Amino acid sequence: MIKIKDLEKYYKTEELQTIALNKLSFEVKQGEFIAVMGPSGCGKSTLLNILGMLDDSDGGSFIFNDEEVINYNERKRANIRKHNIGFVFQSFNLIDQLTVFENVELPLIYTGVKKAERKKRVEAVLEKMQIMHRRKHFPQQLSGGQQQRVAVARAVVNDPKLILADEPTGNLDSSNGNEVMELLTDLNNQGATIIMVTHSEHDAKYSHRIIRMLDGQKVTENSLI
Amino acid sequence: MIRNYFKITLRVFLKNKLFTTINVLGLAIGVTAYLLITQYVHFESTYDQHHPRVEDLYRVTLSSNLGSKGFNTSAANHPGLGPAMKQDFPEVEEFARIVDRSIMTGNFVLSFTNESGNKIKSNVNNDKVYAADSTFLDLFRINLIKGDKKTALREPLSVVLSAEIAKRFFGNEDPINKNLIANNQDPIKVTGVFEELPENTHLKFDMLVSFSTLGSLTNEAWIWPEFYNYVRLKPNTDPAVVEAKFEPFIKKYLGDIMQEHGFEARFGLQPVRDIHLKSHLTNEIEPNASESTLNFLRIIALFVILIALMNFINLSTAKSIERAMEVGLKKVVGINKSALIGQFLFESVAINFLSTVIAVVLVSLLMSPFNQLVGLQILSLDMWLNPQIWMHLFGLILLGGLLAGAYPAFVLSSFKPIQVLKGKFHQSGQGALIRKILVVAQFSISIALIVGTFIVNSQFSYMQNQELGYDSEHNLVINAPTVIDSTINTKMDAFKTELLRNPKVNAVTRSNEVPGKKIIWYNLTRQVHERKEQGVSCNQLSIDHNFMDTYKIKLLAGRNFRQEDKSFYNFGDPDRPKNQGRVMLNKAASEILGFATPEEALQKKIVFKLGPIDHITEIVGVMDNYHQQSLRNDFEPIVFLYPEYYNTAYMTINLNTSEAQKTIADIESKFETFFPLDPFNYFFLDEHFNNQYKADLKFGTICLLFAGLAIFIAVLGLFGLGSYMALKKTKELCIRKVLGANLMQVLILIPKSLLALVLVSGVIAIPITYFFADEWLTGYAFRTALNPWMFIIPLSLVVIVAALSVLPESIKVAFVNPAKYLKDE
Repeated sequence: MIKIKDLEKYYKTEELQTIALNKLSFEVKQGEFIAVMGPSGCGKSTLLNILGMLDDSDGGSFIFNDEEVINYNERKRANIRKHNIGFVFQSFNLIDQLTVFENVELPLIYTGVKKAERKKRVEAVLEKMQIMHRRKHFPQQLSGGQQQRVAVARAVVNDPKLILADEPTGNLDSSNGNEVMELLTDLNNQGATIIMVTHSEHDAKYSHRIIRMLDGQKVTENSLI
Repeated sequence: MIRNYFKITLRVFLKNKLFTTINVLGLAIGVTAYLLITQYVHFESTYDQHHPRVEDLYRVTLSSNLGSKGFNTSAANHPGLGPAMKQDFPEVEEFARIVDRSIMTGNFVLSFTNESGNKIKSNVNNDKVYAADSTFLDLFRINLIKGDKKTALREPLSVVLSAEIAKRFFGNEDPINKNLIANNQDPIKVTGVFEELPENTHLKFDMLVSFSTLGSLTNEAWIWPEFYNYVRLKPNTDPAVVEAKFEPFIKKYLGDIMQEHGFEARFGLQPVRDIHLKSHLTNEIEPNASESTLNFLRIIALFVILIALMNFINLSTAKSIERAMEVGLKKVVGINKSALIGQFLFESVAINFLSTVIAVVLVSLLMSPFNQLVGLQILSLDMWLNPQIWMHLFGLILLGGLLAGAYPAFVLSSFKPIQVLKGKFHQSGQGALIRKILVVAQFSISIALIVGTFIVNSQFSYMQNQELGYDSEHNLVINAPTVIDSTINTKMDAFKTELLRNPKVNAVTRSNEVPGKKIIWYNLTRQVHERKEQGVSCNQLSIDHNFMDTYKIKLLAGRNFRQEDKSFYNFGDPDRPKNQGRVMLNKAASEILGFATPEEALQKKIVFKLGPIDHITEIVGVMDNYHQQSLRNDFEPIVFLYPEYYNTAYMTINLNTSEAQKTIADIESKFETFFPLDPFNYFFLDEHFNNQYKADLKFGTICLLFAGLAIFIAVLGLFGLGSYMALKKTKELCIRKVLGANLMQVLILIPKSLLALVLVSGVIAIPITYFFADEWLTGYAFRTALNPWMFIIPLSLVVIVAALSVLPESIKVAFVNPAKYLKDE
C-alpha cells in the first residue's frame, strides 16, 4: 500500500539546516498495524505528516496505492487525503464550537456525502465508539478518553484505507489509553491499515511491526507477529 | 511603579504595532470628529446668549386662525403691540420693534455724493435693512463704534450702518451726520456705525433705520402683523404672569377686528435665547437651526467616540490570551491584583492620551476646511486658549481610558495563573459574547448612520431634481429700477422692447417677487358671495402678461393676462370704481377658494383686501402650481395681479444662450441708458433658488463626513478583530484542511462569522432608522419615498467593506501549513 524510498526532509532556519528525514525507506502492506518509535526530534511526526500528505518532502519517492504522489500539488494531495486517510492526534484536535456529531460529520461534508447518508454513517460510527449518547455535547464537556474516541470516530467515518495516529494516547490516563488502543486494534482487524507514532512501548505492543528511528533514519525494524 | 508601568506599556505598544496603531488611529479620529462636532454644536447652541440680561428678553408671538382652519403662529406681530404692552403691563420694562424695510419699499437704492463730487450709489436690496425703535440698541448688545446709542435712532430719517456699509459709502470719511439719499429723493442722516455683529445671533442686519421714519400711524397700527416685537421684563418676572394677562389685553386692542373677521388671536412670550434652536414659526427673521439636527450631530459625536472605545475594548480583550502568560508569571512571582489592574489601566490611559494629542494636531490642521464646510468661522487656533477645552480633553482621556481599560483590565487580572501556565487556558465564552455584542453595537450604529445619511442625501437630491413647475434655467433676474417718476411704465415697456431686440433674449417679464423667496404680500380672499369670515389667506404676486411665457408655467384653464387686463387697485380714492380688476390664480388658490376645477373658477368674482380696501376682481385664468419656495414648503395659494401702477422689484429675462456674459453686458448697457441713476444688479434664477438648499446641503455633507468617519473607525476595529479571529481560528482551519476542506471552504470561514454579526446589526439598525427617517421626512411637504434600496445598498456596502477588512488575514491563515501548526499546538 505504501512504499517510501530514500525519503528526505530538511528544516532550514537562518543559521542552520536540520535533517528531519535522512533517506528513509520502508514499505507498509494493506492491513498492517505499524508503530513508529524513537526519541523526540527523530523525525517521527515529520514522517507521519508526509505520509498524511500534509507536508512536502525534499527528495525520494512515495508511492501510495501504486501511485507516485511525491510531486502532487496541494489540491491533488488533498483529494487523495480526504478519501483515503484518517487522522488521530495526541491533542484530539476537535473543533470547540462544534458538537460531537458535527465534528464527526465534517470529513463527510468535505467529501460531498448527502445529508441523510451522513446522518446514518455518523450515527453508526458513534454507536460503534459507544459515544452516541454524547452526540449533542461539545468537546469541552467530555473527558479526555471520550474526546479521543470522538477523534477516532471522525478519523474512521469515511472508511479510510489508512489511519495515521500521532501519539493517540499521549494525553490520556492508562485505562482511557487502553480503550483507545483496543479501538484501533478493532479497526485494524476490520481491515484498516494503521501507522501510529508513539513513545509508549506498551502501546507499541498492539502493533504488528515496530519501526525505530533516530536522527531521521530507520534504526531497527522488528516484527511482533 | 509608574516607571515600570511606562516601560511595559512602551514594550507592549512596540510589540503589537498593528493593534496599537488601530487603537490609536481609531481613537484619534474619533476624538477629532468629536471635537469638531462639539465645537459646531456649541456654536449653534450659544445663539443670542451675549445680550445684556438676556434672561429677561422675550419676543411676542402671534397665533391666529385668520384665513386658515387651525392656529398658525407667527414670529411677527402688530406694531401697536410694543407700546401697548409697556403702557398696560407694569412687568414690561422696555420694548423694541423691528420690521424688514421691504415691507415699505420694493427696491431700495442709497447714494452719497462725496466731497470730491463723486456719486456712490448702491442697491441695498441684498443687504438686510430693518426699521428699529431707538430702544433696540439698548435691549440688544450692538456696539456702536460711532454715534450715541441713546439718540441714534430717535429722530425720523436716521440710519445706523454697519462698519462695512459705512466704508462702502464713505470710505475713510467720518459718516456721522452725513446724509444718504434714498431712492434719489429722501435724505437719511447717518447717526451711528456699529461694529461687526457676532455670527451667533438671530438678529443679523447691515442697517437700521429709525422706526419713527414710518410715521405715527404705523406706531399704533393693529392690522399689520409683520413687526417683530421684543420686550424686556423687569428682573425676576415670571413670563407666565404676563402671559396670563394677554387674554383681556387682546380683547382690548384686537377685539373689534377679531369680531369683524371672525377669528381669534393669541399672544405668547418666547425667550430670545431659545429662538435659534427652538423657534420654527412663520415669518421667522432667518431660518433657524433645528434642535433635532443638533441632537443628531450630538449623537454622531457620541457614537464616533463610542465606536472607537469599543474597538479598544474589543481588541484588548481579544489580545488578552497573548498576555495571559505575562499575567500568570507575574502572579506566580507575587504581584497583587491591583497592581495588574493598574498596569492595564495605565496602558489604556496612555493610548487615549496619545490619541488625543494626535487629535489636537488633526483639529488644528482641519480648522480651515471645516470652517469652509459649515460656512461659518467656528474654529480658530484661539480655541486652544480656552481652558474648558483642555478640561474636556482631560476628562475624555481619563474617562475614556478608565472606561475602556476597565473591562480588559479586570478580565486579564482575573486569569488563574496555574491554568494559564499549564496551557489549559480557555478564553471565557462570556468574553466572546461581549465582543460580539460590541461588534453588533458598532455596526448597528454604522449602518444606522450610513442609512440615515443616504436618506438625508436622497431627500436633498430629490428636492433639487424635482420639476419646479417652471423653467428655472437660463433665467437671468435683474433688480428693477427704483428711481421712478410718472413715465416709469412707458420707460419699462421701451426697455423691454429694447431687450427683446437682442436675439439671445427670449422673453422678459416684470414681477415683485421671483421664485426662491417667500411672497411677503398676502391677505384674506373669498368668493364674492361668501361672508367675510369665510375668507382664506392667499399670497398676492404682481406680474405682467409675459410672466407665464417667460417662466413657461402651464395654463390649466382660461387665458393668460393681456395688456388690457391691467388693473388699478385704489387705496382709498372713492372716485375710482373698485369693481374692475382681473386676476389669475394658481391651482392651489383655485382649490382653497372652493372651486372644484380650474374651469369652474373662470369668470367668477373674488374679493380681497389690498391696502385697507376690499377689491372685487374677476378670474380670467388658472395657472398650474409651481414651487415658489423650496420643496420643504407645500404649494401656497397665489392670486396674480397685473397692476396698472408700478409694482416691480425684478425683471426676469429668459435667455437662449450659454454665452450669457456677452448678453449680460448688452443688457447692462441698455439698463444704464434707460435708468442711469440705478445700479445694475443681476443673478441667475436657478442659483438663487438653490440657495435655499444651502443649509440642507451643508447638513447633508456634515452627516456624510462624520458617518463616513464612524464607519472607517468601525472597519478599522473589524480589521483588527478579523486578524485576531483569524489567529484564533487557525487551529480550526487547519483541522478542517486536514479533514479535506478546500481553500474556498476555509477562506469563507472567518468572514462568515463576522458577516453574521453585521447582518444582525442590520436587523437591529434598519427598523430604528426607518422610524426616524420617516419622522424626519414628515418635515418636508415634498418628500422622497422610502424604498428598500435605501436600506439594502448601505447594508451591502457595509457587508462588503466588512468582508474586505477581514479578507487579507483570512487568506494568510488559509495558506498556513496545517502540519506545522498542529504540531506546534
